[in-house]
Amino acid sequence: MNAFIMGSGRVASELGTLLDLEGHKVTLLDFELSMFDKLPGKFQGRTMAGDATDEEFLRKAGLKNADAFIALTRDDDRNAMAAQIAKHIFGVPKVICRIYDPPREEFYKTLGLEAISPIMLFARLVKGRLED
Amino acid sequence: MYVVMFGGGEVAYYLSKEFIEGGHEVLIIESDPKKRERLEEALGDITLGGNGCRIQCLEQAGVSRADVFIAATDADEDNLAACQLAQIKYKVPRVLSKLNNPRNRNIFRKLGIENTIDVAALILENMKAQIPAFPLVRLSELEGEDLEVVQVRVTEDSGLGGHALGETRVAFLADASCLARPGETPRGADASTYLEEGDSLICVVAHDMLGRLTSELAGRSD
Repeated sequence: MNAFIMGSGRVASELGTLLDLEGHKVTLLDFELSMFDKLPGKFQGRTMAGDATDEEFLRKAGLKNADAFIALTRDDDRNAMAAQIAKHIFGVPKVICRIYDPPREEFYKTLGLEAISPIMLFARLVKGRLED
Repeated sequence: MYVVMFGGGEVAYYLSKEFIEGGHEVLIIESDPKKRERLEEALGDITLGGNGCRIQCLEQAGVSRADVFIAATDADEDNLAACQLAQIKYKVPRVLSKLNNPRNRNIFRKLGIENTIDVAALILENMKAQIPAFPLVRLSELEGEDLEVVQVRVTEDSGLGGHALGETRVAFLADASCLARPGETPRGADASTYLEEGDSLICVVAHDMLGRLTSELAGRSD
């Protein structure tokens, strides 16, 4: 799989490393290369600096050949915009974005985006455990 | 009309002033207390603190009864998110967005936000309008039609002077409707209208013909 991940935080780094160790082609995108300084040393994938809500940057990064795009920055609005560009402009088959705000997770799902709210995810998980 | 704006900068200030003077109801969503204070000093109690991308805030603003929603922040991702919510979730009939990055025009359109205002392009066209050497100035866009109203100047380099309009390539690429000649009353233009240097034609042109018209007027035609 050729996966593009937007973000350089913990989840982005962990996911990128997991996919990389499984032999997938991974590209991490964020504003500055220094943002990737905390990546685990074992990460062998590609990192690129730029604005992942900018169509030109995504084109140069090669997004049109991507199998998956995952938006994992802290900013819901940037995640939603980049994910929609990946899905509707570049036709990436699998697009997932993190949306912290639970009501907006619902909204973006109605737009056909695969949105995940970590808050709701964890709440549902804990609720499930309680019911076990 | 009830007008809700997101982003309380200069654009929102002047626009609100006009709307209020026209007897309309205005609410500006702005998170910065300093900007809110400035707006309220000048225009009264018309601001709401918060983030216009948040559902809670939009509910509080009563966006579902808004006639117009305008996103005018400096971040296109915020403008897009707010406009999509206003248009799709709250069914606001008219949704407009300021564009900070001109390249996003196409993205906004593909994602359903048709009406965008490209600030950089506006400034550029206004400047070109002040400099007579530019043969083509984009005056306005006809909404939803993919048509633009442009001014074609009969400059020395345009190659148009001394010809009837019907003999020029402009006639093939655009519909000229009006001829403005310095010191004369503007009049309707047709194929027989004789062009002189210094004239201006007001034309309607399809958006995708603009590039060809531009190179034609610059004498770069093929």
